Amino acid sequence: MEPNGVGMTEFMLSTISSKTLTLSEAVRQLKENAYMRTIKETLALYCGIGAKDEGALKKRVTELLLQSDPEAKRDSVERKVRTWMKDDAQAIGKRAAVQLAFALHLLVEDADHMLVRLSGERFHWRDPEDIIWVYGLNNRLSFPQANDLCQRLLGRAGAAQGREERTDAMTAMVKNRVMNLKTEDELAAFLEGARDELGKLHNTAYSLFMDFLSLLGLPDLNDFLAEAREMPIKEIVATYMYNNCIPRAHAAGKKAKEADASMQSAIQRDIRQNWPDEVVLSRMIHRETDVTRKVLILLFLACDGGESEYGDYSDDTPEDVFQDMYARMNSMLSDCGFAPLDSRTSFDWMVLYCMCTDESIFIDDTVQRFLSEIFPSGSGDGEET
Amino acid sequence: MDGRKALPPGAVLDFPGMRCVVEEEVGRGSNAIVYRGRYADTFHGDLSHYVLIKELFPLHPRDAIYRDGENAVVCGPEGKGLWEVHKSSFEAGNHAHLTLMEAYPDQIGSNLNTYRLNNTLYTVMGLSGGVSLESQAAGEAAQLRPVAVRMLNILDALDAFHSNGLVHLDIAPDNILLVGSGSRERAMLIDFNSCAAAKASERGAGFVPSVKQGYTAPEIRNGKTEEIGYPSDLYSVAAVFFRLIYGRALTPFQMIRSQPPDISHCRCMEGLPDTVVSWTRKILRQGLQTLPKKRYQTVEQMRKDFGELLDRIDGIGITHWALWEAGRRSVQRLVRQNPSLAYVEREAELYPLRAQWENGGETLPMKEFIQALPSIQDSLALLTGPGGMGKSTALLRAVLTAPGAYSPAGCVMMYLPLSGWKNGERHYIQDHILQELRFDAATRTLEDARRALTALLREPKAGEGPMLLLLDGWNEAPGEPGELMQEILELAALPGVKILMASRTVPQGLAARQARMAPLTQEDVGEALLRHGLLTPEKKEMQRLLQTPMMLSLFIQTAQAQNSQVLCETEQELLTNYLNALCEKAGQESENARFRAEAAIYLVLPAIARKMKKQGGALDDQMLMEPVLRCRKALSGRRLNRAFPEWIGHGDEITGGADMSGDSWYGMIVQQLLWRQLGLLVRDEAGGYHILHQIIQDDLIRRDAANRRAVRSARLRVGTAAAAVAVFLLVSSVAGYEMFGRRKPYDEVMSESVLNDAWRKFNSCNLQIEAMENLLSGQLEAAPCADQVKKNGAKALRTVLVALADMQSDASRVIPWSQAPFDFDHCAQLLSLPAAQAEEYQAYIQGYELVRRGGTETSPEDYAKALRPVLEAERDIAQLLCQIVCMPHMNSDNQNQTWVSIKANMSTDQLLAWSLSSIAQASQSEKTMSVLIDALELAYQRRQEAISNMNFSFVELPPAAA
Repeated sequence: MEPNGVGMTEFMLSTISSKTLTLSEAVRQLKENAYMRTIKETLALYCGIGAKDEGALKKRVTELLLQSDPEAKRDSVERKVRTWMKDDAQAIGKRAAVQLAFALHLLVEDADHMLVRLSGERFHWRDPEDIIWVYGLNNRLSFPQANDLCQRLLGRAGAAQGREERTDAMTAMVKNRVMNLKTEDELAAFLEGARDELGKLHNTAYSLFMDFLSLLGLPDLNDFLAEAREMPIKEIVATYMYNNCIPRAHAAGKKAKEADASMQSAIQRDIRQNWPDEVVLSRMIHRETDVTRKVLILLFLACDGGESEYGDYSDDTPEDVFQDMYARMNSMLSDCGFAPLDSRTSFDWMVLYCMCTDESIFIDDTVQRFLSEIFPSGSGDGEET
Repeated sequence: MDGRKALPPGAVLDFPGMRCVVEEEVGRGSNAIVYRGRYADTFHGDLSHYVLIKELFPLHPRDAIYRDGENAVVCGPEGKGLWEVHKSSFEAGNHAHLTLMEAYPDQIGSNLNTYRLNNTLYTVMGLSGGVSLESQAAGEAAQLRPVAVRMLNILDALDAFHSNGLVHLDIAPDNILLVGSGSRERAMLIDFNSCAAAKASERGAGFVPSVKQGYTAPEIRNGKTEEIGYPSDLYSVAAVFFRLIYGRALTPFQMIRSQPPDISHCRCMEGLPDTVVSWTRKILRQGLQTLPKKRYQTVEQMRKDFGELLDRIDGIGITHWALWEAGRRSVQRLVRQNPSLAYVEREAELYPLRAQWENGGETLPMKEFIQALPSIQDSLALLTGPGGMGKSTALLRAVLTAPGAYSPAGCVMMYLPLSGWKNGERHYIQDHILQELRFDAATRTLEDARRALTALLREPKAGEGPMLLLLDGWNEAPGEPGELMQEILELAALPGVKILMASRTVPQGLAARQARMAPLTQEDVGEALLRHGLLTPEKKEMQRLLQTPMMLSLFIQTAQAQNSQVLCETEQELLTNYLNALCEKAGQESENARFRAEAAIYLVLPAIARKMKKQGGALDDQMLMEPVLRCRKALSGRRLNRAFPEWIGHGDEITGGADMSGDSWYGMIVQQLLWRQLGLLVRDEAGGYHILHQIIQDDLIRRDAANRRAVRSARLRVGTAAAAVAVFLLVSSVAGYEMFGRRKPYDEVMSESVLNDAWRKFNSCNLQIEAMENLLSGQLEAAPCADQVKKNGAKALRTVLVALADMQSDASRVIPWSQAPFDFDHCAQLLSLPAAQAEEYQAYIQGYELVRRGGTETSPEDYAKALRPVLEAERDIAQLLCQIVCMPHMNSDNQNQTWVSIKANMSTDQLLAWSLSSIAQASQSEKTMSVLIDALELAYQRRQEAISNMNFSFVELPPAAA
């Protein structure tokens, strides 16, 4: 079946949730025939050109980019577009995706969807830079004009470090206000006035992240046979982040890393990309770096599932259990400003497959086995769990 | 920061036809500021109408929307976008408000009108005087019931919206107004700005629902507007319910978890039954489901569940959960109130009970057996077994060890003792069940309740487990329990009922699957005895007896009470030992306590047992009072003292004397002693007593018969004597010398009994002395010697003592066949001699052993030489006593046949000794008797001298050897 956007997404989702695939079959499907969404497919969708007509698509995208950034060099743009057209290319930078959104004159909502597909991220309504992009799209500015605004307004406003407790109401209010900004002055005034509310870091994501870590760190949770103790971050990573299944770069240096990356498949790269380790988790705890979508998903899986706490009213069918977990995961991602689960990205496909395990109490085992099939060599560096 | 300036108090809002004066600000939100105001009545100008005035005044972070000096609301350029959004919301809210008010004027706060003034909009609303739930509910609720009532009020308010095809979409404590108080409190939903059509197709393109942390449904937060509907509001209602119980709103983390947080530890849950807690969880779980399709779909569904919650809190209704609660509660109370049943809760003290299905079926541990009952095809099963096999224990234990948390799919267990049934009771079992329940308004009479119960059991709800009735003691149901059996069969026919009935025997004509209690194995018994440091009895009969759990329990309790190994060979002895041990234990407190315990156990309790058997079934305090007070009266008199001579002189201590009333004595003996302390009586929930176990009851009935025989004999003797005197007096002096001089005989049976035992005691003494002599001559080892001495050292039989005491009451009588008077003093000495000798000789045996082992400076020969005079003196003493006591009654022509046979059974040596004895040749004269008595005195002196010589000659034995 040819990829066709939403239909394919739902098809893949129904394939996963039908539970007709064994784990080996699922991994094979992922590797060979999972119809993972490609950059090319997304570009084709939004450019209105068939993905099969690669030449025309390449040409169109190149022209759009050059129009939106006249100062860019054609060779450079063509090279970039060629990279995007490769079947194993699965993500581009958010900035590039925003540029394309401007080039295509998309509405904010459509741009938001395209951003998710191209870069894995959506507009973050507390991020001043994203607010400027939104303002630009809403008021039909060009990409260079929006870029210019960013430089002027962000430089003036300074880095925002919102620390105020986030509420959904406030984000919705911010969103409403941003969507109603009509002039540069209003934008500037808004950025200045909302300084305390804005910040690059996802506050809700951080709050949930810390709640998950607290839960995993509880003494009783870890090993009821052993003496009660709090679990250190290192052990949480080793136990719940499946670190022993994820290969790490064995050599330092950019070239070594590039060589290492090229040896892996696109699927492996997508899954492995930004896989958290102890250092990254520690930086997240200290708010030195933003909590990522992948970390939240892994923590959600680690903390969810199992029998009903009370053992009664367990009349849910396996389908209900999956749908419930799926909805809650998406709620969490939505609350944090992240894209919902997408059955046409490798990591999400793996997550969705593992969520369909017959008994959610064995989900850890399923994830580990799945990763072991994706990465047969494993890490060799990771801690034994 | 909110920099908006409110209208000052006193500010005038001159609306067309309504000149309002602002009194004070009462609240503000992101959209508006609300004031309390007033306007004068047109006709009664001195009186005012009080109103709420809502002013459209959106909050802008940079104060781009502000108030000028003229009180007008000014919107700067940068505030225009925000202004339009909020204005639309304000207008939409008013529209919804007016629509609802038209449909439900009594449930929706009034909306008088909306006006343009000061560049903004003002809506004037009626003042209900209510307070917001937000301000009312700080922290955790103290009690659940008011919360549940309040939730029903909130649902009533919400119903107005849903009935009109609208959803509120902003239900939270700050938007719920509470009007009135106590039972008249009602809830109103305010702030209609988020109101929308329930159907997605009817909503406008600009529909953007608001979001409130902790209360907004997931589909709204996720932007899935097509999924928004009635369940979205019901999610928020459940979130409010959670807030009231937990004390704070759901956090983002709590909202994404698969289950709502545990509320069982919250303040308002304390002390509530598990069925209430589980139902509260159920409401929260369903109300806070992530998927709308899994949530409550309508207000009515949620209202029904809150109604059920109230019923559970109040314990109202004949429902599956109420029966479950009642079944557990009644057994817990029964065990708590009866110390004798406390063992049921202590698993470590229980023996492994097993049951075997008939026809060689499987033998199962009791727990498994009962757990399997709900799933067997038969609705009625019988569990049989002799008394003491643990049937009652098994049934009680089944209820106590059932899962502690209620589950609709689980079995409801109800334990009922059938001993409480009374003749003619047609609905004993149902009424017993119903007495634990409380009923709603629809159930007015007991008959209504029975019908409701039958209906529930006839048509059990899908997913609800059956009721397992555990009926205990069919054989204990008094009288002719035909009606009881009828009720049992009728109940067994109901689809929702399974019955297990325990009985010693199989009821006649009953067709039911049968199982039998399996005896304990030898290994079970051995293990239990070992655990308590007790020896397994040697006799096979006793070992078999201990395979009955009750007997094993009595055996162990006896050992614990008397702090020694238990030596008994029959069930009767075991029971006797057990009761004695109870008396001993009571006696540790004081001698008077011992006497009271003896009186309670040996006199009062047998009388109670007899009455229970006669009347059938359990007896309450009122019924027991009469026999108990009769016992007290008997104790106060003399006749009973003859039956229990050891109580002579302690009557007041036992009865409490004149200072204690009958009621108080009853309370002390029955309630305090027999029920609470000794646990020999078990009291049911209806206040009826029964004996701890049928086995004990049977024994007590035997004792009562013996007691009554003794009392009757005494009464008969007194009566006979009195009649004889009367006859004598009536007879004239013509009766003659012979009649006048002839003495009345003792009762022949009593006489025979006493003399038989006297003779036996004489023989026993001889056998003891013979054993000692054999020891000293080396013909017998120490251990067998000690055994023989002990074996022949039994105390006098109680019946003999009783007879002796009775005879002694009238010493003027004679032995019937010898017509000779009886020597009671010397008889008492002879009767106690073997026991005294046994104790004495044990010490000599130990001493001899010590000497033989070289433990002293004395040689065995010297020891023997010193001891022999003691033995000789004691032989003479025994012989002399026998001659004094028995001889006068052995040589008469009219001697009793028993004495003929005794002489016939004497050994040759004994006869020879007897005939050679010059004393035996003597006549039965007073002079002869006097010589015998003198000889006896001399013999005592010789003995004392011999003992003194022994003590003087030898080193004192160490305590261990003594």
